[in-house]
Amino acid sequence: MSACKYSREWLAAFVDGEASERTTQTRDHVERCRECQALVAQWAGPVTSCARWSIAAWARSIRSSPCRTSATASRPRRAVPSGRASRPGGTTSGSSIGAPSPVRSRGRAGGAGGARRRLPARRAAPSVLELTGPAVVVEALEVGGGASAVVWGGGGETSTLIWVQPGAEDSHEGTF
Amino acid sequence: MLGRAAPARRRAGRARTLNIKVVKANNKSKAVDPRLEKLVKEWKLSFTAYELADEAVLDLDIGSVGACSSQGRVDERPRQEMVADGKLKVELTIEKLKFKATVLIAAGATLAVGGPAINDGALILALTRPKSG
Repeated sequence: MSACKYSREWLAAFVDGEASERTTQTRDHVERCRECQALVAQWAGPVTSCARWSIAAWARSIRSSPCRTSATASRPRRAVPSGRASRPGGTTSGSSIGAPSPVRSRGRAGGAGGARRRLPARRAAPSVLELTGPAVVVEALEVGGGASAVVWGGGGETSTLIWVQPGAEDSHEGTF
Repeated sequence: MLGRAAPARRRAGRARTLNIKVVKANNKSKAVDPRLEKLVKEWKLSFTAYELADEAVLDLDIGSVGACSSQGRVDERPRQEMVADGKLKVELTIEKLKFKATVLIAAGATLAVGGPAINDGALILALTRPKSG
């Protein structure tokens, strides 16, 4: 049972370098609290093992690519309206894992639905698919094998989520 | 094995950092790893339990390819520029999902990709660009 009641969320943010205004406070606490020192050491330490479905299989490549600065800056963007996305999992039907339901794109998404699009498989048109949020912009998105994808985010959030529903012909159970 | 990449390049101001987290989400409990609470609040999914299954820190020079292989290899290519508004352009490929995306990520922002089913739950991959990265 943990004795220290200091916020684990703040500790995690501290480890990630994202504690912002709480950095000093958290650092001071960690310097005094052995329990939190151990937690920070545990969280900040190197990752020494990967499960077989780990990052290696997930992300075949992550590329920080050359950017077309002028093109990106000048290209008209379809703005995604502000507003928090509704609770996607809560709208799920026919899913046993609580995944969000794909919604069809009807031009500009609006209302509580936020920035959600259903993106057809194998569609790759960066000028069309550019979804703009304050923190993450999805310029292009491809999914294949009959899969569908839902994108939501924007609306003042710092996190954008792409949910991929594998197609019927694809089964990835336990292989990632 | 994925370890923390050498921080020297980050300090040199050339490399850009991505924090990568692999999350297992399910409804078997209500346990949320404290390191995921901030992300979970933003995702607003209906899962009740979130476990941090794996994580890594990837330092990429602009224009480089970070292949998340079992060796944690980072291939370097000639450095390029970031986009004008400071967002980092990232191309993410997940072959088994036949997934490919090009995204611009601002400092402090997270892109998450989820969907594959595992053990009555789902896997979520989160790429976070630190505020200082």
